[in-house]
Amino acid sequence: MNPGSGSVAEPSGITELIDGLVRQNLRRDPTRRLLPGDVVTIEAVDADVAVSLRPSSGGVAVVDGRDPGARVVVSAASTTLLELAGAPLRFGLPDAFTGDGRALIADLFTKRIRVRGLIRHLGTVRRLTMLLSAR
Amino acid sequence: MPTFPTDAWFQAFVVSINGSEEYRAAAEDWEGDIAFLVQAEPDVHVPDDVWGYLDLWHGTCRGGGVVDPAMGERAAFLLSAPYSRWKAILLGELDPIKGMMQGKLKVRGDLPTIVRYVRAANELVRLTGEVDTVFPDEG
Repeated sequence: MNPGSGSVAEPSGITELIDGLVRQNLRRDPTRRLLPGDVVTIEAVDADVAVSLRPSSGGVAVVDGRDPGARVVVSAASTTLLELAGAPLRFGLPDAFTGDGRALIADLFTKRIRVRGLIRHLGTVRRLTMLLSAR
Repeated sequence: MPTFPTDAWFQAFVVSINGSEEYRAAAEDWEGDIAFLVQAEPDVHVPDDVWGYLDLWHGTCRGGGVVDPAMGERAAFLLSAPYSRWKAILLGELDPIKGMMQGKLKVRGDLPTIVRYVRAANELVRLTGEVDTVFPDEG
């Protein structure tokens, strides 16, 4: 996989998927957004692919690969990443009052999901989960 | 034993889906038909594209089979891959979600809906493995 931010080659599956999800979510709810400095990388560790998101003039830019300047890096298996996007949220984080939310919180504690920057950049994490949320 | 990807295979798949309590629970609110485009690989005895179709509704499958491309294109969701990739999925050699992330399995449709039903999708794929299958390149 090529690290870095962007590529002129055909985007990988994760990039097409996340880009499509973000665009469709923004059509449903244009208030979702990233703020300046919210640079994020999402890694599907089992598939050895990554995608990065950053705010852009048109909304959100979604590009192939890891961004070395990412303040938040989310790493998990492919299915777990989609479960994260599909989970009910409360205040931008998985809802502990639902079974799906509790399962994801357990995944965080057992490090099936790793979120680098979770504490230091909690606001970025919340905006990311809102942006990706399929709810 | 049905050959993949024929109409008989998809009919057997429908029976398998409707016999699954796990699928019924995971997809109890699902509304939407799914098309499966099996792209041709003439060198392994799949000379033409094949469009499979499932009419999925609230945890059951109301029907399915091989359809013409126009009907397949009209489905709410489309999953497409070359024959050999589908074979790997049926044999459990390729995880479909991982395949989507790697671009080996293409998906079209309302992605937020697909994401909300990822467990149902996984169960659907697991059920393909319960269909006794003959592969044309192994005949």
